[in-house]
Amino acid sequence: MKRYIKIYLQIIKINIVKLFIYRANFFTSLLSSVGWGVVGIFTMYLLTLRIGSAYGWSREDLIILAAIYPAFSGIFYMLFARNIGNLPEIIHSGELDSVLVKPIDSQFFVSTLSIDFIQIFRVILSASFIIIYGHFVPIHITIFSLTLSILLCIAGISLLYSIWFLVMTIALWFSTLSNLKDLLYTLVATMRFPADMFYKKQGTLFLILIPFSLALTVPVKVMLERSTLLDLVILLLISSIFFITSRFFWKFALRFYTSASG
Amino acid sequence: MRYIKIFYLTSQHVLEYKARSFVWFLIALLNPLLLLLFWRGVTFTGTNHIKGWNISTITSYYLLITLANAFLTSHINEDIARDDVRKGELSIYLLKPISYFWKKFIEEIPYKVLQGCFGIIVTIILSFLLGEFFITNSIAIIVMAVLISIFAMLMSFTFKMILGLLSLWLIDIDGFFQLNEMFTLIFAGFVIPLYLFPPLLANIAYVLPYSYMIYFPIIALQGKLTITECLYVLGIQGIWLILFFYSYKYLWINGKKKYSGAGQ
Repeated sequence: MKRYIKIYLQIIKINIVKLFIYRANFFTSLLSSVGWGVVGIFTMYLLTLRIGSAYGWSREDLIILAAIYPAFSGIFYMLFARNIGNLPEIIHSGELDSVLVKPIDSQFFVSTLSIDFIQIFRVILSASFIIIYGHFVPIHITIFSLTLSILLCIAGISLLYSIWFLVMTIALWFSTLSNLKDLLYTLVATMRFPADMFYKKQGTLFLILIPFSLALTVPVKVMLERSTLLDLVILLLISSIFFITSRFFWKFALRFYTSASG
Repeated sequence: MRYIKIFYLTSQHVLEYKARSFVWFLIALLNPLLLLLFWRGVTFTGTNHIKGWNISTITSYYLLITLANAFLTSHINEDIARDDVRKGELSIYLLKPISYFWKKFIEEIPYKVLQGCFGIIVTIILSFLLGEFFITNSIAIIVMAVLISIFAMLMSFTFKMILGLLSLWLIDIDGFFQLNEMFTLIFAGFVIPLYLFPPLLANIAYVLPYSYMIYFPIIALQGKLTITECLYVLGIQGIWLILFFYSYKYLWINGKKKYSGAGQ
């Protein structure tokens, strides 16, 4: 464990240096990352402009859910998305060979090599919006609910990580499907909507999206003190099951890696 | 004849990568479906419709967005920036005795046909499952809507060609593309029909070209425009097309001088 912490600290250092090497790219990424965060919140503002409520969520609650989404997805994008998204390329080019021969857990290495620090600005955007929005609408958040919500966000991010990793592991068989990454980015946007949407009759078509939406809905419900114990148990259970499955699936899939490259 | 050959070869290529193309279709499909599902759980304040839009017309609207996105929206700018400019593949086109614009346009058609087929199949399935899909029954309006859609497709293609060519001047153009995607999402009517926008925002949307590429073809097909309004929309689209075409020509002539052939 100590060795992995040491390695991760080195990875952080390397990525900070990288951030300052590509300065032109810094502003483009900043614009794109913060811009999409703003668009996400603005989209929910437009959607709820003329409605009373949706799926038992008031307009204010829906906007808060959409406002926390940039921070939540930002942390996930910062730590994992780019790494997991690169898996098909690493597999297709045969670069995975060099990872497998290293004396380190291959899943850890391919999941953590790159850190996109720009995404921190999405967290700042979310926090600023909620503080400002809180001055205009009554939001009741306690220290306890906030702390519990942050802890559950870790479970949510772990769930998101596991789903992404499970899906991208498929690239070991179909390495040309590099656009699976784009599909996953789109699926992450599901989290802007309450998970309750998929429980109703017409939502059964979209049952597959429930894990995505649960990842953020439960922490936000906890923060707004609207959750039940069952919500917490479901999130923790699903998160653990998906993580263990992603681990086994990666080890299983590696047996089929031919190292031949595309 | 040479363009028919290009069409034939591109069709073969598109059919070879059907699975990949289907994933792109799923990506475009997800957002309207999520919004559609959201609206079906909404409770309105006091009434069961907003400014004449009820659940039924809103459902049709989002299903038509899926179709419009599959048939009308071009993404050629990314290919131009990545392959032709950055990798230097534009050199191949410069040597060939064919028009760069029309070659790219012909190459788009098989892709659009495949995407459109996915769109039609999914729309049919969803309209059966949801039981609500209405378009106008007036033949005259349908003809006008088809014309508006053709103009919209040409607008989207030419606009994206312009964006792609801008990469000859801007080395890091991805941020610019992202910004364009954000504007498209809001002002083309992907989130909600522009008719439901606050007045100021709606006026901005009607001035920008995005609404003429997606929103107007859809509401024309829904029968929400009269013949006179359809003609007005066609007129505006015509003006945009002329503007886009001359901008493209200007960028192409000057861009070729900027192009070094070494890639970036």
